[in-house]
Amino acid sequence: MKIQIVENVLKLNDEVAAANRARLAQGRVFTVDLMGAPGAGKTALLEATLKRLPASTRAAVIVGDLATARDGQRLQACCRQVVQVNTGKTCHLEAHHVARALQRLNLDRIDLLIIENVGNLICPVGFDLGQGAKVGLFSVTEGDDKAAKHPFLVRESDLLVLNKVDLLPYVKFDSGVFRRDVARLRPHARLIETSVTTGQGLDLWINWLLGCCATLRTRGRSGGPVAIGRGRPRKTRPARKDAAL
Amino acid sequence: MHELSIAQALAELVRQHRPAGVPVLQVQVQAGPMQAVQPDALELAWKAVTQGTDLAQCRVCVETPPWRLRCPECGRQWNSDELESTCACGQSTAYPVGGDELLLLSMEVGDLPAGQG
Ligand SMILES: Nc1nc2c(ncn2[C@@H]2O[C@H](COP(=O)(O)OP(=O)(O)O)[C@@H](O)[C@H]2O)c(=O)[nH]1
Ligand SMILES: [Mg+2]
Ligand SMILES: [Zn+2]
Repeated sequence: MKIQIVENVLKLNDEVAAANRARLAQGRVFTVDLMGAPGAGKTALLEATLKRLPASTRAAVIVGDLATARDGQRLQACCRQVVQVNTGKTCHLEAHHVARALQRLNLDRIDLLIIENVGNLICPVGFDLGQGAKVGLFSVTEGDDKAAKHPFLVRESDLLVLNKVDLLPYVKFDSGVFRRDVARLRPHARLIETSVTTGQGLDLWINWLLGCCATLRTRGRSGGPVAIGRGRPRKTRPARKDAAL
Repeated sequence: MHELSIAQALAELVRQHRPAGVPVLQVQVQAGPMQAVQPDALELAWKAVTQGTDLAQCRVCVETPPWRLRCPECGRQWNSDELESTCACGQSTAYPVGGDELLLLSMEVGDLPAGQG
């Protein structure tokens, strides 16, 4: 006997993510899921960001890694609320990791939560964490074909950051090719070029973050919807519910 | 290896949907090209996740539809195995439509074991 189902395979993760999103909305916390390859500069970007954020924006970080607490230790030097999550064999964060990490944070004292996902351009993308926006971080040393090779990440990211632009003179990277691939996958995507080393573009990135936090605050006050970004549009067709044949 | 996490999520979802007591013989999954799921890898991960459990007899069958592309110039839509594909009108900037689905489509269940039900 065949039973029709048609349901998202990651439905149970999505349910936990929805609960995370509700908790974060209640605490008026704008949350970013930062994804990128190992070595792209996620932790370096966060260190620079945390040092430059105005004191009025209280930040917290959840950092995911397969093993070690090294990134957490690096970030603790610039942020008081840091939760390190070791995922063991899992190559990305899932909503339940974030749910557990949220228990260790005082959401009433946080305006901005940045989640550094496990370094990986493929696996994290499909797992909703309850974030308000997803950010895809690439770096010029990875090559200009990486947007084209990771269409899901590009399509799902609300903002793309291209880091290490200080190294452009030394590597073969055609910004035009990268930009064209991004535009094809996500026509109105925002792309910010940064160099953590020289500080280039960091003001644009930080202004984007502050803008998201401000939007959340004003929308929250007017009683409107508080989630920014698209949450997660699920392409699940209306389930033909358990039509047993 | 996100196939392992997908296999784990799939097993949980199958257990939620299975009617009590009957064996699940096969589950049908659809993974759009955005998901970059390797059917072989998912089958292997499924075996690893289900062996020694109530789903050990269950096979997973993975359907991977091709890219659906749309030309921004002339609006034509076509299927392609490659994301980069040139339209009949000469445009090479076709963009993908959908393709991010990851669905449990259906399951095939057997009869109640004799002496039950
Ligand atoms: N030249 C240059 N190096 C950078 C930049 N951002 C990060 N790095 C270096 O890249 C390496 C990996 O950075 P890290 O933050 O650990 O990357 P993660 O694995 O994505 O967290 C470190 O040696 C950083 O100093 C940049 O903008 N320019
Ligand atoms: Mg890091
Ligand atoms: Zn055309």
